[in-house]
This record gives sequence, C-alpha cells and structure tokens, in this order.
Amino acid sequence: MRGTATAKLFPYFLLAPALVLVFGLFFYPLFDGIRASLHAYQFGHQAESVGLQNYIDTLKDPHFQDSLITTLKFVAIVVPLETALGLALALLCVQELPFLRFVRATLVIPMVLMPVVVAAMFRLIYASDVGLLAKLTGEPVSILSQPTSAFLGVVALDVWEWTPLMFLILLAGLQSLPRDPAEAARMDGAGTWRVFVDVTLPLLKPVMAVAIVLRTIESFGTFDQAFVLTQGGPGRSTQLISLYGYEVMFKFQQVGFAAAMLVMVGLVVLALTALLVRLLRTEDRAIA
Amino acid sequence: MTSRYGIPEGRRLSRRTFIKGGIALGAAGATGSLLAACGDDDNGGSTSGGSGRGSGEVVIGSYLSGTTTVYQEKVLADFERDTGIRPVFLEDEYSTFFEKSFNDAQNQGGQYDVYLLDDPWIPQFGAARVLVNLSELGFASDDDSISAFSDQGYWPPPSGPRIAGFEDAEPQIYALPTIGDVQIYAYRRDVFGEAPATWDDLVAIARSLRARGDENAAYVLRGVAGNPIITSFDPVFQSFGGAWFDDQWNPTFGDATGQAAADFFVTTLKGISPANTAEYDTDQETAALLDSRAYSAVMYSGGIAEIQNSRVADKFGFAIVPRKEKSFGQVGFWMAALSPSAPNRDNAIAFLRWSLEPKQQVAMARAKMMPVTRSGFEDQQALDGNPVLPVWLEQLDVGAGARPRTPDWVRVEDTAGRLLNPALIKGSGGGAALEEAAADVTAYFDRQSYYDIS
Repeated sequence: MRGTATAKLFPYFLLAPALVLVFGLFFYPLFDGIRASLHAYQFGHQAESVGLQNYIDTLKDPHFQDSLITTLKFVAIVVPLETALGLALALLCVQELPFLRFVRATLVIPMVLMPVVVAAMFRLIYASDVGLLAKLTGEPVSILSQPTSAFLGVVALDVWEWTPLMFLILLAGLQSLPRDPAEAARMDGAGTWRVFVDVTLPLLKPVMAVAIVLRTIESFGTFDQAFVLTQGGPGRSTQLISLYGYEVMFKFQQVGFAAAMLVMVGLVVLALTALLVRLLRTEDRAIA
Repeated sequence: MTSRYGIPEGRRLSRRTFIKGGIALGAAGATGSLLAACGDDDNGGSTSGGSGRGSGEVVIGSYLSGTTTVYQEKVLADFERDTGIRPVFLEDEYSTFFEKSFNDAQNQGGQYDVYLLDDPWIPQFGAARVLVNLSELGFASDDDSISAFSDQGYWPPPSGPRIAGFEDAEPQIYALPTIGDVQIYAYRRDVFGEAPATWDDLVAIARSLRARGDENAAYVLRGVAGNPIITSFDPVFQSFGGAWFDDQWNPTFGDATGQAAADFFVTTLKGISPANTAEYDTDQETAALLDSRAYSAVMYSGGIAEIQNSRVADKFGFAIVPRKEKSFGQVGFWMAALSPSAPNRDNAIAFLRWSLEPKQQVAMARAKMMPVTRSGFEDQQALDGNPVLPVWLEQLDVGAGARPRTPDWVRVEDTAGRLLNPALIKGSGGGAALEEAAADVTAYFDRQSYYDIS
C-alpha cells in the first residue's frame, strides 16, 4: 500500500526541481511585475496600491500610444522583409552549388555580432558629415536627422542583422522537406514557380510560422539598435516601446507606470502571436 | 578654526575613533586613524594634526567620463598616499550608474561607500530620503564655497520651489561638490578676433563671414533630442531671461520669453550652425570645431579639454557665454554623497573631507579640471597653465545655475527636448514646440501628488 503511494509520488519528486525553477524564474518575476503595475511610487512617499490607475494612465498617455504605433509599424515592416529576404536566400543556398558553403557562412555573420556593435557600425555609416554614406556620395547625408529616413535607417539595420536568422531557419526547413512531392509535380508538368507556390511553400509553412512568430516577438523587444543609433529621435520618430519603457522605468523612475505599460505590451504581443498561430492552423486545416 | 569646508578642527579625531585607531595600531602596527575626522561622535579629543593614517579601502561609484578618468589619475592618486586608504573606483555608463546607485541607496545594498552623482540627481535622491545627512556630520558651506555648486548639495533646495512634504524642512547638506563644471564659450580667436559679447554680435559676425565667402558655420550646437538639445538650449533660454518654473512649479518655459528664445535657437542659431546640427551630440560638436567646420560653441569642460589637447588649441579663445539679458552658463558637476550602507563609512567620510581640502582643489586646477572652492582658482601655477580657469570663475560669478531642483527634471528635459528637436530640423516652430512641452509637463506634474501646482 505504502509502496504504491511512493511509486505514485515518485514522478512528482522528479518533476519538483524543474517546477520550482519554472515558478521561480518565470512566474515569480511575472507576478511581481503585475504586482508592481498595481502600485505607484512617488518621490517622498511610500509606494502605495493604486489599483488599475497605472493602466488607465498608460492608455491615456500619448507618448505610449505613439511608441506603440511606431513599434507596430516597425514590426509590420521588418518581419515580412526579413521573411521574404531570408526565404529568397534560403532558396538560393539550398541548391548544391560549390561556392554556397562560403555564402552560407558569410550570411550568418551579421547575426552573431552584438546588436550594440551593429548599431555603432551603422551610426558610423549614417553619420551626416564623416559617415561612409557621406563619403560615398561626396556630400552630407541626413539619414538620422529626418524622422522618416531615421526610422527607415533603424529598419535597414534590423533587416541586415536579423535576415540571417530567418535564412537559417528557413534553410533548415527547406532541407528537411521531402523531395517526392516536388518531383511528382514536375513530372506532372508544373514549372518552377508552380512547384514553389503549390508544393514547397505549403510544406514549408509550419517552419515559416515558427520563424515569423519568433521574429515578431523578438522585434517587439528591439532596444539596443535604436538606443545606440537614434535614442528614439529625431523627436519621437524612432521611439520604440522598449525605449519608452526603459526611459519611464529607469530615467523617470515611474516603476508602476512602466510595469503597467510593459504588461500591456506583453498582452499585445500575446494576442498577435495567438492570432498568427490561429491563422496558420486554419490554413493548415484548409490544406489538409 | 575651521577647515575650508567649515569642519571644526577640534572634531577631527573623536574619542571613539581614537580608540578604534589604537586597536588598529596594535593589530596591524599601523599609525592612528584619521578616518573619522568628521565622525558623528563629537566628544572632542586631540586632533591628529593630519599625521594619522587610515587603512582599508573606500569604494567610490561614478559614471563613466573623461573627467573622472583625469580625476583618478591626477587627484585621487594622492588619496592613498595622504590617508593610507586605498580608493576603489567603480564606473558604469551614466544611466546604469544612476540606477545602481539609487537602488543601492534605497535598498541599503552596501555596494558603494561614496556616490559621485550628477547634480540633477540630488533632488531624486533627496526626495527619496535615501542619503546620509552630511550637515549632521559637521559639513557646512563657508566663504570659500561657490554657491552655484554648494547650494545644489542641499535638500530641500535653499531657494526656489519645493515639492510637497519638504515645504517647511530646513535645508540640509546631502552631497558635496567634488569636480566642478560650467558651460563657457569657446571660439576661434584667429577668425573672430574677440569673443562676441552678445548673441546679436555672434549673428553679425556670422553674417560678415558669410559675406566674405566663408562657408563654415560660425556656431555649432548639440541638437539630438532629449538632454543634448536642452543642454545647448538652456544657456540661450536663460540668457533671454527665461525661467523653467515659477514658485509653485507651474511651467513657465512656454511663455513669451521662452518662445522668443526657442525661435532664436531653432531659426537664427541653426542658420549659422552646420546643416545637420540637429543630429549632433558632444562628439560631433567637438569634431566640427576641431575640423574648422564651425568656429564657436558653448561647452562644458570636457569639450574645452579636447580643444586644449588638440593641435589647434592655440587658435581658440575662451569667454563667458554671449548674453541677451544676461550671460548664463549651466552648471553640471559631480557631487559626492555618502551611502547610507557604506561598508567603510569612516573612510568615506575621510574621502569627503579630503576631496575639499585646498591641496586637492589646486591639484584639480593644475590638471585643467574645475575646482569647486574659490581658493582653487587662485593658484598661480594653475592660472599660468590654464587660461580657461579665470573664465570659468567669471562665468560662475556673472551667471551660472543648475537645472531646476525637481526629481522629474529628466522627464521635463526629455519632453522639451523631443519637441524642440523636430523644430530645429525644420528651422522653425521653436516657440510652439516649447509651448506644447509646457502643456505636457503641466499635465504630468498635475498627476504627481508632490507638486503644489496651481
């Protein structure tokens, strides 16, 4: 009897360390963040509970709205661009050509550089008077001093750095696809484009879905590049939500407000991810 | 008799610390302790006469800067020799250090003994009541103190508006000026001849240079959104007679005076600055001066030092900031505060006292750094070696001031700077930008419970 009970509990004993770690490292900070978002600290006073006031203030804050829109625009541009470029490069490199091993290795370099280093490099490229672009064009360039060009400058940096990640994931996906369906389609007379659209792409979709979801989550949190390159300027044109959150939290010391803001951004990312997954599942069912 | 910073000589060695020193002597064969020269136990006792030696270390935290590097090499290097206490200097990036030091003070982390803080941080630390009261340890300002520096170490501020909870509190010293800094005007003497006395004179010089076919900019400013643009704007704004706030913390920088200053800044001054000055920070500003793409700028001592160490140093002259209603240079300097959880508290107090001694002030002046006491500006060797020294003192005397003493200054600066930056890019709309910033700050202050805003 006693032996049976021990046997039943034994798996839980084995699971306990992992569960404690998960709760300690994941749930505790999460709950603590939510708790902080329900409090306000004001200079000279003790932190006090303010209910949902921080959330109400966040929704009313025009800078939060601006930053969220800037971030959504940023994500909406970089993720499709990186996916398209990554896919194109993966399709190129999946061929068994002699020089491609070198190309594959080279393409990964941007991804392994530290984001801060990449941002500093791009700052030197974009610098109006002494930058590489100014040298190439022979006259001052105004990339970082104009709102639109500065935003596109941050986009270009992100695309340069993170396309290799999409490339790697999609290349692995392409290499793992079965060859039979494509060969059968070709024997039925399908051209390269038709094979790609009707066979390769649907088969690759689950891998693409993972890559897109990963990049969407990642690009929502883009911080280092914009921080080094533009500090959110000119004005607030490149102030991503992560930069604004950092300012509110660490420079303005509005901890509760920042926590509320980041909880809300977390919910937005969660909703977007759920939507993406749902969309892709629906398409999978349609294909099946 | 008092020391330069008003510490009674008779309190230099207390009975408690004398006993401590004796124990240390017996244990380590060391000489007596000088550590608690300004200790909080004022039982009196014999003075050490400066011959006592300390031991151990003092951990000083600061943010990364070229100035603190020079301070470590040229001034702090003597601390161990003078006191027997080994200084350990921990540096971090600016925002990181603020965060670390504030957390350390708030949570009594004991990571540092002394914080070297930027002066606008004092209201944040002061309002949070997390620093050690140095007035209670016997520190006080005296005739040798320069009020533009020493006043910033008080909380609540001795003048100007206060935040709620501190309306009737007696101002106490929580931080001591350590390394001074004030903006002055650097210009190309070989091009300008004499420094322009007013902003209008500068514009006239710029026009005559342009008329002579000189395409270089007569002036250069820092235009990056946030702190950089406001650092460049403040001397212009205050020279026009602008004020950031009234006595009830109502923002006044969007009034007619502020708007006139902002329009002058984004239109007229931008017109005589390099085309892309809106994306310039300190490094580009200095580079423009050293490359002769621009002929003058209002700068802190870091930029001045770069000019003085360059190959074109002899072409530059230095003067007080051009005036409109008055000349104004912003002060932005290092203040030393005692950590409430200092693991080496006595050594930290010894450092605070040592840093203000005349010898160190002279050492700073000779190392082309700015002293924080008036006597530091009087050393002849320093004056011979650094033509900027009297200009700094003149600026401090004719017009210099710190940023408003609110814990939310960073928020104000960020708001105004982010709105002024696009106006600078356009070359117009400075007044409207400042008006919008004032409205934003009013709404923000309204939400905080500690402003008695009306």
